[in-house]
Amino acid sequence: MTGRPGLILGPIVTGLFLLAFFLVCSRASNPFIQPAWELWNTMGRELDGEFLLRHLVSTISTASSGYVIGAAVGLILGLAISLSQSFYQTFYPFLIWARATPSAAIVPVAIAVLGFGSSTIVFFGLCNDYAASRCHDWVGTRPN
Amino acid sequence: MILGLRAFGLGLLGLISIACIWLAASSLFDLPGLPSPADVFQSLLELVLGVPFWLALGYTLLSALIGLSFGILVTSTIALTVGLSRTGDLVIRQPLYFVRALPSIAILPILIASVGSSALVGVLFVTLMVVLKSAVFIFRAARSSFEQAREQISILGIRFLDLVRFVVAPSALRTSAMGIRLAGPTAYSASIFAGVFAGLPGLGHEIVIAQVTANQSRAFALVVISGLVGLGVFKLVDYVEPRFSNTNVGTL
Repeated sequence: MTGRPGLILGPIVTGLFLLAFFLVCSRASNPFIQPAWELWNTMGRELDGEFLLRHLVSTISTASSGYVIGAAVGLILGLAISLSQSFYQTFYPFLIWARATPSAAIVPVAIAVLGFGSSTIVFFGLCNDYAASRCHDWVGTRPN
Repeated sequence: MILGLRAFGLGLLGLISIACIWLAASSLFDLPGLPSPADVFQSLLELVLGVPFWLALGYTLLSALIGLSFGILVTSTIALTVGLSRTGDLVIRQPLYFVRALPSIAILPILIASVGSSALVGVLFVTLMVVLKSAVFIFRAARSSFEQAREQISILGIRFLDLVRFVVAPSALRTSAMGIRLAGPTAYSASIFAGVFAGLPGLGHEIVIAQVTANQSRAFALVVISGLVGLGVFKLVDYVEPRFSNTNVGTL
């Protein structure tokens, strides 16, 4: 059964078909789907300059800030939830609601309140960290 | 009973505390984009009493359901065909891991540029997100079920297609349940995401419209509702998942 030809050939043919489609598709079929070499050339051009580095540093620093703030808030709330039954019963419904809210829904509202800029993006990072709910999982148990 | 009342009371107290903090923040700080809780509550009531809101909610849930169904179907089909062989597994898994690592917000503009901004692109996006979320679980389930079952073929003389149909697919369903459970909320989130960033009709699009028309309280009310609906989706998949998990009819 391990040598069943269809199981070996099928994936290879599929892979080759996808590779061929990606390599030969041209701007004529869709101006936005670029051939593979165009992507490669573009990456080469961008990597040569400082464009990529500048944006990479900016993205990583913002993501790190959001992550650190989110983790810190989550750790404190998670510990409080896990150690105190009253705190858990008081704030857990809200935190569960916050976790169930898609972060994309918060984006326009957060931009309106905080404005465009790093503070908004850091806030998204904080939201995406699922603060207390995730930390509650780390801590493990809640009081009964 | 007393414990239940206590939990309810404390939960209510928590919500009131948050509303008070919110009220203080909207009153004390000069934040034009932050409406008061009373305005949001009023908008929320107006929303739920109007037909357009229910239509938007219906669109969101429908696109999430269509995307979820297509996503599970596509993933299961690939897993039960190409993914059963080691070669196929290797061919698919590496690109999949790469695409999974891409932020969804980076994928959507490319999808819009390729397909155009329409309801179709929203459903495609939801499908893609479901595939990326559930693929690892479903692939692993199909492959491990197949590995266990194929040794029985020579003994029992089962045909390959029968093996996949009657043994691998049902048995894999149990392990896939976790992937499907994760994919449900993902489909809902992706549907909202596509509404906000790609104009897919639904709650996400309504939030953007409320934002553009400077109706902050309506936007906040929609965010509150999207969280409540998200909770409902979580509860629903919690209810459905065990039904999938218990259909382990394929064990030989």
